[in-house]
Amino acid sequence: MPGIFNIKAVSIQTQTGTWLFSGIGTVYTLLQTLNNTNPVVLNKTQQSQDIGAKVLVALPNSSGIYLDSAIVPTSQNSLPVGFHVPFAQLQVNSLATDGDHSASFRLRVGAALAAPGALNLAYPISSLNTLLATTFGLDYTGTATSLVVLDGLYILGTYTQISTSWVITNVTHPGQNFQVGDTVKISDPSLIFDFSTITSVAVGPSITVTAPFPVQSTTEIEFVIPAMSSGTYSVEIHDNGTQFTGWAVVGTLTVFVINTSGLYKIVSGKTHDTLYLDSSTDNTTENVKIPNPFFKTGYIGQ
Amino acid sequence: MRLRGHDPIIIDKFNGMYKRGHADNTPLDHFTDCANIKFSSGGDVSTRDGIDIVQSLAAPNTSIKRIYNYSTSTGNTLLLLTVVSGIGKIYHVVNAGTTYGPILTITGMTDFAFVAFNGRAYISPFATFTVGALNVEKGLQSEFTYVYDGTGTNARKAAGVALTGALSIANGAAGHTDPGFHLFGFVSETDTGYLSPPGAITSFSTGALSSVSFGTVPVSADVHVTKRHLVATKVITSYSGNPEGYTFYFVPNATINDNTTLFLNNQSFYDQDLLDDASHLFDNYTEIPAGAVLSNYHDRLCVAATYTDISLMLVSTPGEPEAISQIDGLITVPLDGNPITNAQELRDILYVTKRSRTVSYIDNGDVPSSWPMVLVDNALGTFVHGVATVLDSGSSSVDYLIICTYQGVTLFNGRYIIPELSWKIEDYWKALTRADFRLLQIINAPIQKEIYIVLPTNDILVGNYANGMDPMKIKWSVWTYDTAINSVAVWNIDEILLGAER
Repeated sequence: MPGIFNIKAVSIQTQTGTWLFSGIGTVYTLLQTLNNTNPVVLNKTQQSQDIGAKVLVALPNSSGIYLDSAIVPTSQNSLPVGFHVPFAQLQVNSLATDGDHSASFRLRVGAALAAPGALNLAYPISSLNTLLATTFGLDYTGTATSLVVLDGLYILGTYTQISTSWVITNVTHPGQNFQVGDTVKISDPSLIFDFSTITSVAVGPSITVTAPFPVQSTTEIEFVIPAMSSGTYSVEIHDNGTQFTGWAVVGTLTVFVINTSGLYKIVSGKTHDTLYLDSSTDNTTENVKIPNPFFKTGYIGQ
Repeated sequence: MRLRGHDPIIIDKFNGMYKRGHADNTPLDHFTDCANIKFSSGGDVSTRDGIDIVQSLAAPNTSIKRIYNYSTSTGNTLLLLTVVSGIGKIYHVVNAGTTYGPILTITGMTDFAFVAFNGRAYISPFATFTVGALNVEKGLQSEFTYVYDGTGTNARKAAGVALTGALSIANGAAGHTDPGFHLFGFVSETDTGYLSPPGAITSFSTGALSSVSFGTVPVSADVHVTKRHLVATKVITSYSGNPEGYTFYFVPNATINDNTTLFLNNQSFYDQDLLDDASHLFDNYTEIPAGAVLSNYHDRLCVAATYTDISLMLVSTPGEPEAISQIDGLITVPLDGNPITNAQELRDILYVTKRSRTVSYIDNGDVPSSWPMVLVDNALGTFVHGVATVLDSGSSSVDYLIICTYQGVTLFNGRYIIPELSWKIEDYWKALTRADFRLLQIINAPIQKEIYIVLPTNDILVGNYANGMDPMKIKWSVWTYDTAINSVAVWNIDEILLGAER
């Protein structure tokens, strides 16, 4: 089901000269300015010196995406399955400068700048993480008597759901929690999606597993969870196929980092390994099978 | 089933992994690949034995980086190093239910060297430093060699400083000395037998018919000091003002058997009674720098690869592991930019290795700096854990060493024996990452007749030599685990212990 979303600012990363904004000297009120739709006057008329070139950069609120004009944001890990963004832009509802054109503004996304006076600028949508991590703001050049009216500044985009039936399963420990090193299978029982052209899988903001995958077919892929911290992460696939190109959230993955470290002894005749379940927590153990004993001869094979 | 014209090939014995040349060249009774299998002496193959936890503690030790077998005077125990967030902690595992420690905590300690000496543990923290493109194991900067007495009290720095202060000396009761100007001082003795340099040196002219009494005898700040010994010079006819320019002797039977008493009265002696020289104590390290190598040779403690000199070996006085002369207790292995990696005695000879060099020294009864060096091999050497340990130390079993070299696992009996023991798996061995060979650890379990080598991959390479310690008869296999093994030790004669890091 398609819809719209917006992402507001969560904090000010860079602001050269907070005094520029007459009457709103704190970060909190400045954020309100960026997030609210009520016009706010950025007034430099009370200052005697020139403003010069200034920059205001805000961080997007990565923990909260407002779907379909909702009042309460949706967390990154609660986005609807199949969440895909075909379009996003930074926009300001209205931006007006004083009549003599002595002040000018340019919207900024990361390092990219819009044309002077433009009210929107395309936002990178190469991944959910990019969307949520790329800063936005404006560059402002003014004089001592500059005056500007700013009416909201936020990311606005549209989203769709590529498929709502993706399933994430644990191949290594079926039905159990995911651990580092486990093999994860992503499939789509509806058979809507073609997995054969997936190029990478992102798990959270900093882990990306790229092809080739241990298993990849039109109906599923499998990948191994790399070393990472415990936590719940959104999982997004990146595809470069003819059916679909781009990224989409396929669900979340809750990873438990199991610490099996400890002191062990070889026990003659023992037919399984007994490992700590999580030795950093307590001395609970679990029995696991001895990993795939095998031999191959050059003559008769395995 | 027999096909016409084809004779059946009977394979009734399996002789382990063979990775040498093309797979087609693998002998029929060998494996082109295998994992998690063990061999019987009869040639049978079965799944390897499983592992179980050792500690029964509610909070077991985790993130284990290194384990050593540590034989105390009362039992077979373990020392193990855990590293969490860059902080190394050494624990003493007495048995399944008792673990002391941490007995030593040092930030940046990612490994440690260990040698047992009279039931005590000498411990040296070290780490890997990158020098150019080379990973160098050497002692931590501004760190020292420690001694642990095995009782659960924290390890302390080995050696110790001289007593300080001045003595109050007066004629005592009727007695005797050689009259004249003497220098007196006290030497402290720790519970490990370490004798400090003479301190609190004070001059006094004795009378012929009087004994000598000493007051304000300094008390050591070191709680491990258990005795203080009186030392004295013979009569000095013309004093130069430099007390270290004279020979001090232990005064017979002039000992305070504690670290609290402030006096020692009525000591009588003649100069001819002064036989036991104490002057060499001035030259000893009061703090022994940390090194990456600890060894025991001829009842001497050897420390090598310190932070400031990777080719330097410090060798103690026989029977006094903490008494290392800064003047003649030093051996410099030829400088080549590589650190000393190991030191091991075999047949009365001390073999010292770098990663690709082996030299030897022989204790000639003189000071270590006078020991002649013999170049053994200019291409083969080993790594910090690359000499197979048998129980509590790297040592020989049946008169040879088993050494990991870049070439392979090699028997050493004074020279490296070719073909190497790992001849059958040469390709496998040489495919291991050379820069990570420092992570190898090898032990020899003579009861099982097996060699265990922890690989940089956190797997274990096992060599079964039940049919003979011979390159053609040994059977190799790789054991893998669902936990990252990075250390191995033999405990209680034939128990194989594994330390897992994560």
